[in-house]
Amino acid sequence: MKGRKITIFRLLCLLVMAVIFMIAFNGFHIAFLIASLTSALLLGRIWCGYICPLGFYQELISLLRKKLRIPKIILPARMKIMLKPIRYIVLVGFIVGMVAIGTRPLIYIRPDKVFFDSALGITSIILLGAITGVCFLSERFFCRICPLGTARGFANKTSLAKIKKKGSACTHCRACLESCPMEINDIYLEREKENVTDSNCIYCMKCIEACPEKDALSFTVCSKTVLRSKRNIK
Amino acid sequence: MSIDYKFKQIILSIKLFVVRNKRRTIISLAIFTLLVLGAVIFCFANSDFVPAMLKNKTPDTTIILSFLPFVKILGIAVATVVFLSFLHKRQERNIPELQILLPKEVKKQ
Amino acid sequence: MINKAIERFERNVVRTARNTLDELRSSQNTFGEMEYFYKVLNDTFVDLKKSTIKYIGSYCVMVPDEIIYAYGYRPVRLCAGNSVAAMLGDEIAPRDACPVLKASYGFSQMDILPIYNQCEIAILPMTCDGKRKSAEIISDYVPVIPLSIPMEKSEESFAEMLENLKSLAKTLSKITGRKLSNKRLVQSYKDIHQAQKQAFRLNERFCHTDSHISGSQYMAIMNSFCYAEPSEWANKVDEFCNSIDSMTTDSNQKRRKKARVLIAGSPITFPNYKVPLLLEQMGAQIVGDETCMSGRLLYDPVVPDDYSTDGILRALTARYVTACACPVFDQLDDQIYRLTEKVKLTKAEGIIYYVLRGCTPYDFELSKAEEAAEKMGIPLLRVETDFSLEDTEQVKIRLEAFVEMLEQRR
Repeated sequence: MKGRKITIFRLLCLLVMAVIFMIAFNGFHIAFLIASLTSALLLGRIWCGYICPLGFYQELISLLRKKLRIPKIILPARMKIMLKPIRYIVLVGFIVGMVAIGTRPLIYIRPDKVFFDSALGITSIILLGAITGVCFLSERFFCRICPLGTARGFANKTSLAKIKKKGSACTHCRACLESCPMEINDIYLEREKENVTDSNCIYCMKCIEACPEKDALSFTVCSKTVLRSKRNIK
Repeated sequence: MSIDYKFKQIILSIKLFVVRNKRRTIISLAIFTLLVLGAVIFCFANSDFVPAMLKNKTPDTTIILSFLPFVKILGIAVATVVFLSFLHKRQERNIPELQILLPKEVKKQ
Repeated sequence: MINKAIERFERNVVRTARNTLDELRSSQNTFGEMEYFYKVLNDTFVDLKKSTIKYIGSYCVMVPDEIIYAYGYRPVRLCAGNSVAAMLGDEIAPRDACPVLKASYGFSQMDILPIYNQCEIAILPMTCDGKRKSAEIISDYVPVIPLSIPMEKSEESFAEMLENLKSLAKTLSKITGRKLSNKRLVQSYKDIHQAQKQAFRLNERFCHTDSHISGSQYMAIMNSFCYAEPSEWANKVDEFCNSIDSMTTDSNQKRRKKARVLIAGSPITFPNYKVPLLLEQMGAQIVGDETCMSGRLLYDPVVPDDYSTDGILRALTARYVTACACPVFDQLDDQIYRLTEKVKLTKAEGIIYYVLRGCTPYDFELSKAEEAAEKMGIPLLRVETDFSLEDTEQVKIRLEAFVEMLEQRR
């Protein structure tokens, strides 16, 4: 649990961005959506890990769960495979909603406003409550079905920021998969390929922090190594 | 390898794919065509479609803040957590114990 | 069995252990700090010191020590390495069975070692054939809990193993009457994590080019963890590493560099240090150890994501079973990758692959290890032997030839 400097830095980024959003933005603007999707073309899903306020609140409730030593709920492998298409259905629904009905999701910029909105309908309340509850027991659950996240994830394969793995140094100790909030299997299983940036990866760096083998996992930006995994002895 | 050869390879592999997955290809082509046609018709039916898409339709100035919805959301969240934990605990209770092999008699000579 | 014969066996068991310990003590580079580790081995195998400690024994390295510790018992490894005990066990086990099991049966029947006497329960993972059949034999002497281990490393197997560990916890609760408290589990995780950290530091100093520790000393230190109290062991290793760091290195530079050899294969348990001690006699330096009772014993750390009971049990399953490099699993990629990485790290010039007579899984892994050694361009020597000292001369000749070949290849 020590050696979490990267996570602390990331939580500070999220906190600063949440505060900036609260001060600067009062409503939804389509320009915001276009800007965030354009940034995805360069660095993939980095918005999800370092800027998104929804992500910030999910991290906070996960921290609360860890403090209370409540175990997280992980679905068995077969169920996960069956539930995979849900992300894409939500994405299609979101696009149709934006284009045809005109929904403007304020929740992505000012979730605090949405949660305290007195005009919230009963279905919205139940949906928000249920998702919050599941996010408490399962880390970053909403990020796994988030439509904007799925859209950005398509650009992860070509992003300038990559997670690289040295297959021969991996001891299959599973530390990376256990700490991954998006439950990406490839980071643990892959031995041949060097680039293991999955379309779900939000660049939270928890795998690199957890990995005990020297240089087995590394984070590169424009092919320059920024972070490396190493054993934490102190 | 020449460009001609590569081109022929690509065409052949597409042909092979279509032949092998004939049914799937026909159905997906049909759905795709219907979607495109439907989108085009929808766009033409709503003539003010494009301006509507660029409009920011959030009633941001008219949001009245109050604690009640937040408390309701929190309540439902807690209920969800309790329910899921209960299911999880019940699953744990069903985990069987391992068998224990006990010494039948004292075997010290 | 008549009493005089039993007495002779008991005397010889102690004598074998004492001989190995004396040989270890007489090797070069003696440190004052090593006395603690020698004392642990002495108390367990030579002086047979009784105490009021209650043990829960485990065979094989796949049983998490943290769970046993959390119930308030001291974990101890019952895999034995004594040749005399193996002779006694020969009466019980089939001729081709693994000598480690034979020695364990011998010790169980002799009933003189305190770690066997004071053992309340034994947990037996069903890894290889021999261990599966041992459940019934050992249950004549001590209550046995057989623990089934899935032989694949897939997602479903992980979930199955996690459930097996939870079943184990339930069963232990039933026998001991104590509950698995989260606080004690976290505390035992932290204690053993300290031991793992110190073992890693020691490993770094051991694999170093100018190491001051000899291979057999390193093996003795790591082996003593199985019989010592984890926090105390961790502190002593810490002191030892600090004293190594403060030593000067110029004394080694003038002498000719010895051949660097890595030992891999079947577990080498005290007092079965025949092969490492012979290697060092022949002038080789053991720079790496990929055997599960010494080098690999504390190598992987336990990395829990959160400190809930479930989270720690998941981390224990991941570390003790999924990361285990035993060849009983269906795929051998993990072992070969580690061997390759270790050779690169320690700059070893040759590999000694040690196979216990009767241990089929390691024999199967041998061919893959030979391929890997060929790819790296270093020679691999297969040494198949059991615990007895009868073939010492033959093994000595082969090791001598191997070490000479390594020195000539330079």
